Amino acid sequence: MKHLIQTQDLRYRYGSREILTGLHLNIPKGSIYGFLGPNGAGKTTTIRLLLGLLKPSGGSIQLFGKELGRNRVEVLRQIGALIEVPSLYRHLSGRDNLEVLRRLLGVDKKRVEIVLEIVRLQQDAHRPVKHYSLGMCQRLGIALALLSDPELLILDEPTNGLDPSGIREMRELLIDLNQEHGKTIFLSSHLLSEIEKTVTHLSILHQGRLSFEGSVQELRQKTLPARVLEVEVDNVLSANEVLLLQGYEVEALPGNRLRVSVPVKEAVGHLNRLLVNHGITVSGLVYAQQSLEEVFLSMTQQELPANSILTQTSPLCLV
Amino acid sequence: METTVTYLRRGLSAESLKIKNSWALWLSVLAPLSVVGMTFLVFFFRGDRILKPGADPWFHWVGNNFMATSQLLLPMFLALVTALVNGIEHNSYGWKQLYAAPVPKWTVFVNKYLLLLWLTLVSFVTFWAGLLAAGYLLGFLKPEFGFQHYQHVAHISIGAFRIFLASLFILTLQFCISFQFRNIAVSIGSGIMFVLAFLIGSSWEHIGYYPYSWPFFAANTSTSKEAHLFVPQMWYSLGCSAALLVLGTWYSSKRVRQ
Repeated sequence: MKHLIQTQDLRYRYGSREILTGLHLNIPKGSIYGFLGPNGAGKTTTIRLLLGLLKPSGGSIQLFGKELGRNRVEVLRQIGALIEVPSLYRHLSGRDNLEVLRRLLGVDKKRVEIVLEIVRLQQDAHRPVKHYSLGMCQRLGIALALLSDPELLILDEPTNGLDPSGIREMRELLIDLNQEHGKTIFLSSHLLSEIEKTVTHLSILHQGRLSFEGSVQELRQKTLPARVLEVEVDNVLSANEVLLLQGYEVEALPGNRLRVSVPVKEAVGHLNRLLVNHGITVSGLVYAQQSLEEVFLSMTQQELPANSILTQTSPLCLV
Repeated sequence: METTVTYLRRGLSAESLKIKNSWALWLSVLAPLSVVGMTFLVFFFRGDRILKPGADPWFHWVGNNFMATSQLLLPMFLALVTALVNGIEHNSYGWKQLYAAPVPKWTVFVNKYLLLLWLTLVSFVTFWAGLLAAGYLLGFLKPEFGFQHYQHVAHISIGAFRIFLASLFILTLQFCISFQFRNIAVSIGSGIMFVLAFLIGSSWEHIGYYPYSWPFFAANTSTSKEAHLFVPQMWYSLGCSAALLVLGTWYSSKRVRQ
């Protein structure tokens, strides 16, 4: 089985509002799959559909090669899930929270200690959850998801609300679960920067459908600007003037640097010679990279409808 | 392969752990003891005014306890305990985790109901044991009342059983309300409203069809010496409770949990 999760033309409607408008997802076995999208894009709705908490308005969901609707209990046995805020009983200890789920699932008692060790919570397992930090709650939520030793983990925003060190810990934990324990992980996030170092595959959800699906590398290659250089010089003012006179598009950056657009690759040598011939020392010359965050934003920014543009421009014309 | 019994056994075991260190468990034990304790104090200090010399004191003792419990305290207790038990799940955002677990959806509702049925049973057993123990203690501390000269274990047991059956529908209804609504005020508020409606309309000729009066009718039977084991209100309660339980189970397995 190549894909653990497959959706075909998945649709979901809430009242008159279309949340998902035809989602095709393919989550490869053994991957850490990042499911990205801005708040309200439909990520949590998709996860609830995958777990059978919501009923789709159309399309199909296949988990482990089986139709979810007809094999709900059977496929859910192979899935561990963390949906938004972890479901924790705050008056019970961490260990008792695991014990509640262990009893419900009929799992071996040893699993409680095993998952506590995986998420590094053995020392605090006896304490009531109401005394846990947010990071500890998230880790306990992952321990709950791991309790039945599932092949697939579905995690909805597992880094939500965590500080940078908590995010780093979570990243290490997810990579460890994937590489050392062989889990396929499907995780959602609204921040690319939080998961770009973790995931092997990702998709970007925008307005109810995917605007990208592939690897991080593919995303980077797909959207790199054709030819943008960052040039570091000793005299920014002179360099700016020389380049503008030659017809280049120039943008000043902090730290004696300029961003210059070049039409073809060969123009880079010409630009370098031009600056040197004018007595300007060039100490750095690199192709600029658009950050992944910028790529993500460019793919998920709201497009203004035509009539809203008209209403914005009309008053300017009058002035 | 898991059977229905396995799912229910596991579910009930998990549910019973959730009420550890919670008010729901304490309430089930302390509420009946407080009723018996208060009546005990009244009889201990004012028994000479309540009891007639030479008459069977158990008749007054049981009547006082049963009437206060069945009319007011039992429905209030059921409204509170169902709200507290379902509140644990509402407050921990636990429903979504339960419905995403590899168990049939209908077991979530039934397991929770079975736990509440068990808690109600614990409460009734505590009430029954407390009633007998406090009665015999009065006989020991105040021999002039004459409690020690009579034995009414069977009579009191049947009386408690009648009230238990007659209150099942209130339990099921309050359970459904607190299962559906996250706000604890809705379930407790509705419980208070239904009890007040009974107290206001208690002299109405058709009040016997009103569910919150059923425990009172069951308790009232126990005060007469020649009564059938079952009164109609106990059958109403059993039938309506079973129907509502089936409806609630079906609805809960179809319902979408946001």
